[in-house]
Amino acid sequence: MHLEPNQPGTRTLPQIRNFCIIAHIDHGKSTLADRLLQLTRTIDERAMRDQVLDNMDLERERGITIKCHPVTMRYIAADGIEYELNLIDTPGHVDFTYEVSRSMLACEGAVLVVDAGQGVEAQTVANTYLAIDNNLEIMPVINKVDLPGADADGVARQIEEILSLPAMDALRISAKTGLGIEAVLDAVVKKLPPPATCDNGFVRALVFDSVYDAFRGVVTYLRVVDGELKPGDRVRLVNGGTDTEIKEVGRFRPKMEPVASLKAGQVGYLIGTIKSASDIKIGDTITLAAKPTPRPLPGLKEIHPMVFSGLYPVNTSDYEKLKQSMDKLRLNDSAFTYQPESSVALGFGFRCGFLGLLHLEVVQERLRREFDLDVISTYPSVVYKVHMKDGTVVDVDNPIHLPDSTRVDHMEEPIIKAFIICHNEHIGDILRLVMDRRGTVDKTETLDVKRVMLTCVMPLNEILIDFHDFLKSVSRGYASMDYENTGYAVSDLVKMDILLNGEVVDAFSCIIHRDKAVYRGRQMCEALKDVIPPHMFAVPIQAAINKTIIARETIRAMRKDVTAKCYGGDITRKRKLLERQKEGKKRMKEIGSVNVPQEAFISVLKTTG
Amino acid sequence: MRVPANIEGLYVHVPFCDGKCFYCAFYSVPYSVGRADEWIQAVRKEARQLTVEHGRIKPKTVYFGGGTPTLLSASQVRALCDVLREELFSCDWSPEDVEEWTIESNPAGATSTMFRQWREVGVNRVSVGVQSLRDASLELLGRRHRLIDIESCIEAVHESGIVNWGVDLIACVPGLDAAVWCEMLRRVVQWGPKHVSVYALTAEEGSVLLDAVCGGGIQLLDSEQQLDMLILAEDVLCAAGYERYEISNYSRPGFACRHNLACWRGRNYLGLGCAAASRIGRRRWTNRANLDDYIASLQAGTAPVREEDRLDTTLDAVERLIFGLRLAEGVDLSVVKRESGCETSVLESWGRTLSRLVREGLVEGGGEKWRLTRRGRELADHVAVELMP
Ligand SMILES: Nc1nc2c(ncn2[C@@H]2O[C@H](COP(=O)(O)OP(=O)(O)OP(=O)(O)O)[C@@H](O)[C@H]2O)c(=O)[nH]1
Ligand code: SF4
Ligand SMILES: [Mg+2]
Repeated sequence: MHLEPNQPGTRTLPQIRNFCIIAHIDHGKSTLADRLLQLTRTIDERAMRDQVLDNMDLERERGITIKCHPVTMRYIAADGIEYELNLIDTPGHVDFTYEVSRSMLACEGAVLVVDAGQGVEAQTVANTYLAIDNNLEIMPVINKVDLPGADADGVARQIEEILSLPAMDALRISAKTGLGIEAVLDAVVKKLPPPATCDNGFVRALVFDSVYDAFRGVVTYLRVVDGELKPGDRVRLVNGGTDTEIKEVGRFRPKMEPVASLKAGQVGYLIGTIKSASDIKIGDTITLAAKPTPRPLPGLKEIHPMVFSGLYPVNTSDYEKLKQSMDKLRLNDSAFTYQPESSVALGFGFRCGFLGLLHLEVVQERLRREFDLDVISTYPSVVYKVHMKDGTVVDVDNPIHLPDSTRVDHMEEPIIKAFIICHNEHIGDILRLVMDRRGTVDKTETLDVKRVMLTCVMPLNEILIDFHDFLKSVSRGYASMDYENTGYAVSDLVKMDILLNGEVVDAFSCIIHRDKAVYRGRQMCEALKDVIPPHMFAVPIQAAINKTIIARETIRAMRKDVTAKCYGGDITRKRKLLERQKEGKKRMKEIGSVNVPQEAFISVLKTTG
Repeated sequence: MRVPANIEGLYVHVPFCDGKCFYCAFYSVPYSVGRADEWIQAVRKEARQLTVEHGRIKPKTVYFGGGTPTLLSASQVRALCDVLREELFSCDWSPEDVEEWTIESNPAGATSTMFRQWREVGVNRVSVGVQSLRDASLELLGRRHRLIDIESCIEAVHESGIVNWGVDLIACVPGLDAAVWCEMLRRVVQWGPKHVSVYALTAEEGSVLLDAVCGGGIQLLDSEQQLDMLILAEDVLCAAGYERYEISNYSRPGFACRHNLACWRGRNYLGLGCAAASRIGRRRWTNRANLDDYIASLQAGTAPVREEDRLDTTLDAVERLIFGLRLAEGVDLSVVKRESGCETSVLESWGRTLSRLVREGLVEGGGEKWRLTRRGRELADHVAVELMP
């Protein structure tokens, strides 16, 4: 957050600091936030738990942060002055970088956490550059110094060499034990700049997030830049063009707590009369409807999903419910896109765009938990450019829409530049892995005595499914990766179909490099064989390119399904067992004459070896 | 005025054993004279409660199951029967009114004297928990008898003059190959039981076996191997002249267990004792499966019921269909309709599924009468699930 220079009436707000905590995944951001909340007594000791800001069930279960979490703290610093500190905890996983970018909109500074055992990793680098792009003041801290393998000096050197940030005097802390935490707060006050504001009579606030609350409706997260917002004000979303009356403004403590007004420099939330989620755009400027600002704030570059997959309700009658749930879900996940589509196998559903596979999983999980919806996802795809013989170019994100091969001249696929940081001893294995994924290593930079950064060029569809798992396993967990899109390249791609009992199941179709088809086809057939239960008849599972079978498995016909057991007159018990069996069956998707369990759609993605 | 329900069957669950079999999922506690006396007193209270609600009954079948009913002493046997006569049976009841009165017996410690005592009170059928003829299997199952006990038990039955007797066998015990299983079945046939039940070994919740299976100590047969064993049993027993009148029950013609048949046919029966199940009309309940709780409920004057299930006419019809199909006699849809009182639409809704099942070779028949084919019996649960709403 930074203001245009030389505006008359500009002044700083010395008692406020707005900062985010950024890091590679698992380096301890949320744990550091815990300690800061405790030290400032923002959270009652009784309500305290590990990674308390990770309040979504899914976050707690997986032990990772998925959403950005703002919280307001009060802190009396060494100088005796009380400061208002607005902290935003951010996710570390590459799929959620967008959450980091939007958090940065509300901040002047960033606390960069680096794990003293792991050192600088790929998202450490990526998030640092993001902070630099956003003109944030970056304050590195070295965390987990309590670990036996901690090498704070080495890590400080890495930060200096790789990130070009002064770090020899970086704070060395343990978020787990609480060591050095107070110094973090003092440093935040001393080193991170206070926000600035402009008293020119116009009100401006920046929307950095919004969530849908079942009881309260749309809650907009914002950072007030100029002026003040209070209940009763009629405000306008500049880009969205909608007006609303403010019903409530408040702070995150970390639960929502209403206040009389939100003032310049502050971070908080607004509840208005906005009904439709789609009216709110992240990065939009809020201003008074009666006196709109002539200078909206610079917004956020719109993010484009990279991975597309069809989501279908298991129960076809849930289509409308799915649509409504997605509307709500999109409110706090603007990176997620969807539009109606249909599948022969699955009926009516939606083509959805995601930032990555974890993002897809999270959306699917949230639909299940928050909206009680079982959904099936089709084989994920990237966006291919199909050059037709007539010279036109078509974007295809769904194998079903691939034009007939006789009309296609050639195809292009998206290419990424991947940055892999790894230990020297794993270079060989990682090179092999990259080559196996049709990639090339363009550059090898030595980071320090132990580590290198490889810059690779690879097709996006090769890293989509399981590349990350493989990378972790060949490097025993030490390699990390970040990537960016670099464009398109011509490729020999084919559409591979999966047939169950002789019928193509479009939900499993995928676009794949010709050389990979046989191998992948075999893997998918094997995976399906393991999860599809036996039927009355033998079920052949085949993989085919242009109707030519390239792999095949068969599920043998079911021979026995009877319990020869003594029930001693307890018929109810017997019926209940049968009812359970029936339930299991209902949760399967009937495709042609074959019952396919939901796991099947996931199992084809999780192939190993 | 309430028309008393026609109660054809009475089941008494005797909850005592002399140990615990590894596969056991039934409720039982160690036998002691004092506990058994207490239990009989509680049964008297329960019988009284049931009489208030359903009137006195004159059952066609009585079944003493368990547990191990034969652990009761001679005087306890008499006391139990006195309870039934005094509290539950019609005033003009006589033992001859009972067509079939079964008692389950374990081989260990069974004597002809004991069987004679039972006979005196009216018992006319014995079901012996043989389970296996191989000592190693009996050991693996946690049974407390051996082949030698089985042989003397069967001799004792013969001596007592009870002609209608049967055995329970457990199929699919790990470590038993097909040849040994066949030989075992032939040996059983030679003893001449009127009835043979064949149950496949399963790891039930709460059993020691389940822990062993989960812990990897014991591996059960896979479903194909199980099927092979069950088919062998059918082959051997049918060749010897037994009829497979229900999925796991075989008998000489005319010796099907009437009590169990009535259960599968959805007839009314009362269950006495902890963990016993009852059915009257479309109401069904199961008693608390804990002796102390059972006794306590009755002392407090409340019904010792753990859970109750009220069927609607549709569910009743579905049950009559799916459980009736387990019987060789099959089902008659007009009977199902009459007994359940369901809508015609319920029967119609099965039409499509039934004809598909016929095409798949699982069901045969047409119109009102349907039964499972041989393959249908092997897939009876699948058929049931297909027919459930
Ligand atoms: N030993 C030690 N472990 C720590 C320390 N700080 C965090 N951890 C542990 O590191 C793991 C990850 O911590 P989090 O706070 O969830 O990490 P994060 O950076 O928020 O992770 P994401 O939100 O998923 O990116 C947890 O198991 C923490 O207990 C520390 O100072 N010392
Ligand atoms: S004899 Fe029957 S009730 Fe007793 S422990 Fe064995 S299986 Fe269970
Ligand atoms: Mg976190």
